Amino acid sequence: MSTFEELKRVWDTNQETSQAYQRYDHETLGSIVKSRTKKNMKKSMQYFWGAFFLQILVYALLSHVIVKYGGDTKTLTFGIAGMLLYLPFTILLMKKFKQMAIIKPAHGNSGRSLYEYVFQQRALLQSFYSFKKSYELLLVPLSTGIGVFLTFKLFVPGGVEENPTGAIITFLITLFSMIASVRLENKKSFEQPLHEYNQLLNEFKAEE
Amino acid sequence: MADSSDDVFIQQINQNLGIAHKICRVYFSDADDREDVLQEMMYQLYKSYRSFDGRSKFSTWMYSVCLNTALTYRRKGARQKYEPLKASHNQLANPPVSDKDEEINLLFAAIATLSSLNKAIIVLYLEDMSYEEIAEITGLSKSNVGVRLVRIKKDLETEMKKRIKYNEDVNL
Repeated sequence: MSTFEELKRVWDTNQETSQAYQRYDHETLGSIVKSRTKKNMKKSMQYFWGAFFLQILVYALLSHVIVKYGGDTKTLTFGIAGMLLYLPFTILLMKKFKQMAIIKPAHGNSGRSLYEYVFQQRALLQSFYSFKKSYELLLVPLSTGIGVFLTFKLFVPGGVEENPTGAIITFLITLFSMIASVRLENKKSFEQPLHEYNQLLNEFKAEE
Repeated sequence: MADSSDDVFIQQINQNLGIAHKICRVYFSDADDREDVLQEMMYQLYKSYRSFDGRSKFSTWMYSVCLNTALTYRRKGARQKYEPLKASHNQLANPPVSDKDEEINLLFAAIATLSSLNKAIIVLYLEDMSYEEIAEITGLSKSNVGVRLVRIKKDLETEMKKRIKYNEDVNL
Protein backbone atom coordinates (compact mmCIF):
# COMPACT_ATOMS: atom_id res chain seq x y z
CA MET A 1 0.00 0.00 0.00
CA SER A 2 2.11 2.88 -1.22
CA THR A 3 0.11 5.07 -3.58
CA PHE A 4 -2.63 7.45 -2.66
CA GLU A 5 -5.11 5.46 -4.77
CA GLU A 6 -4.51 2.51 -2.47
CA LEU A 7 -5.09 4.68 0.59
CA LYS A 8 -8.35 5.86 -0.95
CA ARG A 9 -9.37 2.24 -1.48
CA VAL A 10 -8.72 1.51 2.20
CA TRP A 11 -10.80 4.54 3.17
CA ASP A 12 -13.68 3.45 0.96
CA THR A 13 -13.56 -0.02 2.53
CA ASN A 14 -14.14 1.69 5.85
CA GLN A 15 -17.33 3.26 4.46
CA GLU A 16 -18.88 -0.17 4.22
CA THR A 17 -18.23 -1.02 7.85
CA SER A 18 -19.61 2.35 8.99
CA GLN A 19 -23.14 1.14 8.17
CA ALA A 20 -23.01 -0.80 11.43
CA TYR A 21 -23.17 2.25 13.72
CA GLN A 22 -26.03 2.31 16.16
CA ARG A 23 -28.79 4.57 14.90
CA TYR A 24 -30.14 7.38 17.06
CA ASP A 25 -33.76 7.59 18.15
CA HIS A 26 -35.79 10.32 19.89
CA GLU A 27 -35.00 8.94 23.31
CA THR A 28 -31.21 8.75 22.89
CA LEU A 29 -30.94 12.11 21.18
CA GLY A 30 -33.24 13.66 23.77
CA SER A 31 -31.09 12.43 26.62
CA ILE A 32 -27.93 13.76 24.91
CA VAL A 33 -29.47 17.19 24.32
CA LYS A 34 -30.70 17.32 27.92
CA SER A 35 -27.40 16.30 29.49
CA ARG A 36 -25.32 18.57 27.20
CA THR A 37 -27.54 21.58 27.87
CA LYS A 38 -27.17 20.93 31.59
CA LYS A 39 -23.42 20.42 31.30
CA ASN A 40 -22.82 23.56 29.21
CA MET A 41 -24.99 25.65 31.48
CA LYS A 42 -23.15 24.30 34.53
CA LYS A 43 -19.76 25.06 32.96
CA SER A 44 -20.78 28.64 32.13
CA MET A 45 -22.42 29.25 35.47
CA GLN A 46 -19.42 27.89 37.39
CA TYR A 47 -17.28 30.78 36.23
CA PHE A 48 -20.12 33.26 36.54
CA TRP A 49 -20.91 32.35 40.13
CA GLY A 50 -17.20 32.27 41.05
CA ALA A 51 -16.77 35.88 39.90
CA PHE A 52 -20.17 37.01 41.12
CA PHE A 53 -19.82 35.39 44.54
CA LEU A 54 -16.52 37.20 45.11
CA GLN A 55 -18.21 40.49 44.35
CA ILE A 56 -21.16 39.70 46.61
CA LEU A 57 -18.67 38.95 49.40
CA VAL A 58 -16.94 42.28 48.85
CA TYR A 59 -20.27 44.17 48.90
CA ALA A 60 -21.41 42.31 52.02
CA LEU A 61 -18.14 42.95 53.82
CA LEU A 62 -18.05 46.63 52.89
CA SER A 63 -21.73 47.08 53.83
CA HIS A 64 -21.00 45.51 57.20
CA VAL A 65 -18.02 47.86 57.72
CA ILE A 66 -20.08 50.91 56.70
CA VAL A 67 -23.00 50.01 58.97
CA LYS A 68 -20.88 49.04 61.98
CA TYR A 69 -18.06 51.58 61.77
CA GLY A 70 -19.71 54.28 59.62
CA GLY A 71 -19.30 56.84 62.43
CA ASP A 72 -15.66 57.22 61.47
CA THR A 73 -15.36 59.41 58.37
CA LYS A 74 -12.26 57.70 56.96
CA THR A 75 -13.75 54.21 57.34
CA LEU A 76 -17.00 55.38 55.77
CA THR A 77 -15.15 57.00 52.85
CA PHE A 78 -13.03 53.92 52.13
CA GLY A 79 -16.04 51.62 52.49
CA ILE A 80 -18.09 53.66 50.01
CA ALA A 81 -15.06 54.06 47.70
CA GLY A 82 -14.63 50.27 47.64
CA MET A 83 -18.28 49.74 46.73
CA LEU A 84 -18.30 52.41 44.05
CA LEU A 85 -15.11 50.96 42.62
CA TYR A 86 -16.66 47.50 42.27
CA LEU A 87 -20.07 48.55 40.98
CA PRO A 88 -19.20 49.45 37.35
CA PHE A 89 -17.04 46.34 37.08
CA THR A 90 -19.86 44.12 38.33
CA ILE A 91 -22.17 45.54 35.67
CA LEU A 92 -19.52 45.25 32.93
CA LEU A 93 -18.62 41.73 34.02
CA MET A 94 -22.24 40.64 33.74
CA LYS A 95 -22.60 42.22 30.29
CA LYS A 96 -19.37 40.75 28.94
CA PHE A 97 -20.13 37.38 30.40
CA LYS A 98 -23.58 37.34 28.85
CA GLN A 99 -22.02 38.23 25.50
CA MET A 100 -19.54 35.36 25.77
CA ALA A 101 -21.81 32.70 27.22
CA ILE A 102 -25.02 33.17 25.24
CA ILE A 103 -24.27 32.67 21.57
CA LYS A 104 -27.45 32.18 19.61
CA PRO A 105 -27.40 29.18 17.24
CA ALA A 106 -27.57 31.46 14.22
CA HIS A 107 -24.27 32.95 15.26
CA GLY A 108 -22.79 29.81 16.72
CA ASN A 109 -21.80 26.49 15.20
CA SER A 110 -24.18 26.65 12.25
CA GLY A 111 -22.17 25.51 9.30
CA ARG A 112 -19.74 28.41 9.11
CA SER A 113 -16.39 27.72 7.51
CA LEU A 114 -13.76 26.32 9.85
CA TYR A 115 -11.74 29.53 9.61
CA GLU A 116 -14.72 31.78 10.43
CA TYR A 117 -15.79 29.58 13.32
CA VAL A 118 -12.34 29.36 14.93
CA PHE A 119 -11.83 33.11 14.34
CA GLN A 120 -15.16 33.92 16.01
CA GLN A 121 -14.43 31.69 18.99
CA ARG A 122 -10.99 33.24 19.42
CA ALA A 123 -12.40 36.79 19.12
CA LEU A 124 -15.03 36.14 21.79
CA LEU A 125 -12.56 34.66 24.23
CA GLN A 126 -9.96 37.34 23.48
CA SER A 127 -12.47 40.14 24.03
CA PHE A 128 -13.53 38.76 27.42
CA TYR A 129 -9.91 38.10 28.44
CA SER A 130 -8.79 41.63 27.48
CA PHE A 131 -11.59 43.08 29.56
CA LYS A 132 -10.79 40.74 32.45
CA LYS A 133 -7.09 41.68 32.35
CA SER A 134 -7.71 45.41 32.49
CA TYR A 135 -10.30 44.82 35.20
CA GLU A 136 -7.77 42.87 37.25
CA LEU A 137 -4.96 45.34 36.65
CA LEU A 138 -6.96 48.12 38.24
CA LEU A 139 -9.13 46.31 40.70
CA VAL A 140 -6.70 43.86 42.31
CA PRO A 141 -4.23 46.45 43.73
CA LEU A 142 -6.98 48.93 44.59
CA SER A 143 -9.21 46.49 46.40
CA THR A 144 -6.18 44.97 48.17
CA GLY A 145 -5.19 48.48 49.31
CA ILE A 146 -8.69 49.27 50.58
CA GLY A 147 -8.92 45.87 52.29
CA VAL A 148 -5.58 46.32 54.07
CA PHE A 149 -6.42 49.89 55.08
CA LEU A 150 -9.78 48.88 56.57
CA THR A 151 -8.37 45.81 58.33
CA PHE A 152 -5.62 47.88 59.98
CA LYS A 153 -8.04 50.70 60.76
CA LEU A 154 -10.52 48.38 62.49
CA PHE A 155 -8.35 45.71 64.09
CA VAL A 156 -4.80 47.10 64.55
CA PRO A 157 -4.39 49.88 67.14
CA GLY A 158 -3.02 52.95 65.41
CA GLY A 159 -4.09 51.76 61.96
CA VAL A 160 -1.95 52.11 58.84
CA GLU A 161 -0.57 55.48 59.98
CA GLU A 162 1.25 54.00 62.97
CA ASN A 163 2.11 50.62 61.37
CA PRO A 164 3.27 51.49 57.85
CA THR A 165 5.80 48.62 57.55
CA GLY A 166 3.28 46.00 58.69
CA ALA A 167 0.65 47.45 56.35
CA ILE A 168 3.04 47.42 53.37
CA ILE A 169 4.13 43.83 54.08
CA THR A 170 0.47 42.71 54.42
CA PHE A 171 -0.41 44.58 51.23
CA LEU A 172 2.46 42.98 49.28
CA ILE A 173 1.79 39.44 50.55
CA THR A 174 -1.93 39.76 49.72
CA LEU A 175 -1.19 41.33 46.35
CA PHE A 176 1.31 38.64 45.31
CA SER A 177 -1.03 35.83 46.42
CA MET A 178 -3.84 37.38 44.38
CA ILE A 179 -1.59 37.88 41.34
CA ALA A 180 -0.38 34.26 41.56
CA SER A 181 -3.91 32.84 41.69
CA VAL A 182 -5.17 35.15 38.94
CA ARG A 183 -2.22 34.22 36.67
CA LEU A 184 -2.82 30.51 37.25
CA GLU A 185 -6.49 30.87 36.39
CA ASN A 186 -5.78 33.02 33.33
CA LYS A 187 -3.24 30.56 32.01
CA LYS A 188 -5.63 27.63 32.28
CA SER A 189 -8.85 29.27 31.20
CA PHE A 190 -7.67 31.87 28.69
CA GLU A 191 -4.01 31.80 27.61
CA GLN A 192 -3.85 28.11 26.78
CA PRO A 193 -7.12 28.06 24.78
CA LEU A 194 -6.14 31.31 23.03
CA HIS A 195 -2.77 29.82 22.14
CA GLU A 196 -4.53 26.79 20.63
CA TYR A 197 -6.88 29.02 18.62
CA ASN A 198 -3.94 31.11 17.40
CA GLN A 199 -2.05 28.00 16.35
CA LEU A 200 -5.07 26.88 14.37
CA LEU A 201 -5.50 30.28 12.72
CA ASN A 202 -1.79 30.41 11.87
CA GLU A 203 -2.22 27.08 10.15
CA PHE A 204 -4.83 28.65 7.87
CA LYS A 205 -2.43 31.45 6.97
CA ALA A 206 0.63 29.21 6.59
CA GLU A 207 0.37 28.51 2.87
CA GLU A 208 -1.58 31.52 1.64
CA MET B 1 -38.32 16.48 21.03
CA ALA B 2 -40.90 14.69 18.93
CA ASP B 3 -42.20 16.88 16.12
CA SER B 4 -41.84 16.20 12.39
CA SER B 5 -38.70 18.33 11.94
CA ASP B 6 -37.06 16.20 14.63
CA ASP B 7 -38.06 13.07 12.69
CA VAL B 8 -36.40 14.45 9.56
CA PHE B 9 -33.35 15.50 11.56
CA ILE B 10 -32.93 12.07 13.17
CA GLN B 11 -33.41 10.35 9.83
CA GLN B 12 -30.74 12.52 8.19
CA ILE B 13 -28.35 12.11 11.11
CA ASN B 14 -28.72 8.33 10.96
CA GLN B 15 -28.07 8.33 7.22
CA ASN B 16 -24.86 10.29 7.73
CA LEU B 17 -23.65 8.91 11.06
CA GLY B 18 -20.36 7.74 9.55
CA ILE B 19 -19.32 11.41 9.15
CA ALA B 20 -19.30 12.07 12.90
CA HIS B 21 -17.65 8.75 13.72
CA LYS B 22 -14.89 9.22 11.15
CA ILE B 23 -14.10 12.74 12.29
CA CYS B 24 -13.99 11.57 15.91
CA ARG B 25 -11.63 8.79 15.00
CA VAL B 26 -9.34 11.07 12.97
CA TYR B 27 -9.06 13.71 15.70
CA PHE B 28 -9.15 11.76 18.96
CA SER B 29 -7.16 8.72 19.92
CA ASP B 30 -8.67 8.46 23.40
CA ALA B 31 -11.93 6.48 23.50
CA ASP B 32 -13.42 8.66 26.28
CA ASP B 33 -12.65 11.84 24.32
CA ARG B 34 -14.26 10.28 21.24
CA GLU B 35 -17.44 9.39 23.07
CA ASP B 36 -17.61 12.81 24.68
CA VAL B 37 -16.97 14.71 21.45
CA LEU B 38 -19.45 12.52 19.55
CA GLN B 39 -22.17 13.58 21.99
CA GLU B 40 -21.05 17.19 21.68
CA MET B 41 -21.33 16.88 17.89
CA MET B 42 -24.88 15.51 18.16
CA TYR B 43 -25.77 18.36 20.51
CA GLN B 44 -24.24 21.00 18.22
CA LEU B 45 -25.99 19.49 15.20
CA TYR B 46 -29.35 19.50 16.99
CA LYS B 47 -28.83 23.06 18.20
CA SER B 48 -27.77 24.36 14.78
CA TYR B 49 -30.33 22.42 12.73
CA ARG B 50 -32.84 25.29 12.86
CA SER B 51 -30.37 27.48 10.97
CA PHE B 52 -29.72 24.84 8.30
CA ASP B 53 -31.39 26.39 5.27
CA GLY B 54 -30.88 23.50 2.84
CA ARG B 55 -28.77 25.54 0.40
CA SER B 56 -25.94 23.06 0.80
CA LYS B 57 -26.28 19.30 1.10
CA PHE B 58 -27.08 17.98 4.58
CA SER B 59 -23.83 15.98 4.55
CA THR B 60 -21.77 19.11 3.71
CA TRP B 61 -23.42 21.00 6.56
CA MET B 62 -22.87 18.04 8.89
CA TYR B 63 -19.16 17.87 7.99
CA SER B 64 -18.88 21.56 8.70
CA VAL B 65 -20.54 21.41 12.15
CA CYS B 66 -18.68 18.22 13.16
CA LEU B 67 -15.30 19.60 12.07
CA ASN B 68 -15.94 22.91 13.87
CA THR B 69 -16.74 20.95 17.01
CA ALA B 70 -13.70 18.67 16.71
CA LEU B 71 -11.29 21.52 16.04
CA THR B 72 -12.41 23.64 18.97
CA TYR B 73 -13.04 20.80 21.42
CA ARG B 74 -10.91 21.11 24.51
CA ARG B 75 -9.70 17.92 26.10
CA LYS B 76 -10.48 17.71 29.78
CA GLY B 77 -7.76 17.04 32.31
CA ALA B 78 -10.25 15.57 34.72
CA ARG B 79 -13.06 13.63 33.08
CA GLN B 80 -16.50 15.11 33.29
CA LYS B 81 -19.62 13.05 33.50
CA TYR B 82 -21.58 12.45 30.35
CA GLU B 83 -24.64 10.52 29.39
CA PRO B 84 -23.69 6.86 28.87
CA LEU B 85 -24.79 5.52 25.48
CA LYS B 86 -25.55 2.03 24.35
CA ALA B 87 -22.33 0.07 23.81
CA SER B 88 -22.90 -0.10 20.07
CA HIS B 89 -22.73 3.71 19.80
CA ASN B 90 -19.04 3.54 20.46
CA GLN B 91 -17.74 1.08 17.89
CA LEU B 92 -14.53 2.93 17.28
CA ALA B 93 -11.59 1.32 18.97
CA ASN B 94 -11.99 -2.35 18.27
CA PRO B 95 -8.68 -4.20 17.96
CA PRO B 96 -7.77 -5.27 14.43
CA VAL B 97 -9.33 -8.59 13.57
CA SER B 98 -8.44 -8.78 9.91
CA ASP B 99 -5.96 -7.38 7.40
CA LYS B 100 -8.66 -4.93 6.30
CA ASP B 101 -9.09 -3.59 9.84
CA GLU B 102 -5.36 -3.36 10.26
CA GLU B 103 -5.05 -1.37 7.04
CA ILE B 104 -7.81 0.99 8.18
CA ASN B 105 -6.18 1.44 11.58
CA LEU B 106 -2.85 2.19 9.87
CA LEU B 107 -4.50 4.77 7.65
CA PHE B 108 -6.21 6.49 10.59
CA ALA B 109 -2.91 6.44 12.53
CA ALA B 110 -1.14 8.05 9.57
CA ILE B 111 -3.84 10.73 9.24
CA ALA B 112 -3.51 11.40 12.97
CA THR B 113 0.07 12.61 12.39
CA LEU B 114 -1.18 15.51 10.22
CA SER B 115 -1.99 18.97 11.57
CA SER B 116 -5.61 19.75 12.56
CA LEU B 117 -6.42 21.64 9.38
CA ASN B 118 -4.73 19.11 7.09
CA LYS B 119 -6.70 16.34 8.77
CA ALA B 120 -9.92 18.15 7.87
CA ILE B 121 -8.80 18.64 4.26
CA ILE B 122 -7.80 15.03 3.71
CA VAL B 123 -10.96 13.63 5.32
CA LEU B 124 -13.11 15.80 3.05
CA TYR B 125 -11.04 14.80 0.03
CA LEU B 126 -11.25 11.09 0.87
CA GLU B 127 -15.01 11.55 1.18
CA ASP B 128 -15.03 12.57 -2.49
CA MET B 129 -15.67 16.25 -1.95
CA SER B 130 -14.67 18.66 -4.70
CA TYR B 131 -12.03 21.36 -4.19
CA GLU B 132 -14.86 23.92 -4.14
CA GLU B 133 -16.70 22.10 -1.36
CA ILE B 134 -13.50 21.67 0.67
CA ALA B 135 -12.76 25.38 0.21
CA GLU B 136 -16.29 26.27 1.32
CA ILE B 137 -16.14 24.12 4.44
CA THR B 138 -12.64 25.14 5.52
CA GLY B 139 -12.66 28.80 4.48
CA LEU B 140 -9.49 28.35 2.40
CA SER B 141 -9.20 29.35 -1.25
CA LYS B 142 -9.62 26.65 -3.90
CA SER B 143 -6.02 27.02 -5.03
CA ASN B 144 -4.76 26.77 -1.45
CA VAL B 145 -6.72 23.54 -1.02
CA GLY B 146 -5.04 22.17 -4.16
CA VAL B 147 -1.55 23.11 -3.02
CA ARG B 148 -2.10 21.65 0.42
CA LEU B 149 -3.57 18.41 -0.94
CA VAL B 150 -0.47 17.70 -3.03
CA ARG B 151 1.68 17.93 0.08
CA ILE B 152 -0.75 16.04 2.33
CA LYS B 153 -0.98 13.13 -0.12
CA LYS B 154 2.80 12.92 -0.28
CA ASP B 155 3.13 13.07 3.52
CA LEU B 156 0.48 10.38 3.95
CA GLU B 157 2.12 8.04 1.45
CA THR B 158 5.49 8.43 3.19
CA GLU B 159 3.93 7.92 6.63
CA MET B 160 2.09 4.78 5.47
CA LYS B 161 5.24 3.29 3.96
CA LYS B 162 7.10 3.96 7.20
CA ARG B 163 4.37 2.34 9.29
CA ILE B 164 4.04 -0.70 7.02
CA LYS B 165 7.80 -1.22 7.09
CA TYR B 166 7.82 -0.92 10.88
CA ASN B 167 5.00 -3.47 11.19
CA GLU B 168 6.82 -5.87 8.88
CA ASP B 169 10.04 -5.50 10.88
CA VAL B 170 8.19 -6.15 14.13
CA ASN B 171 6.44 -9.23 12.72
CA LEU B 172 9.65 -10.77 11.46
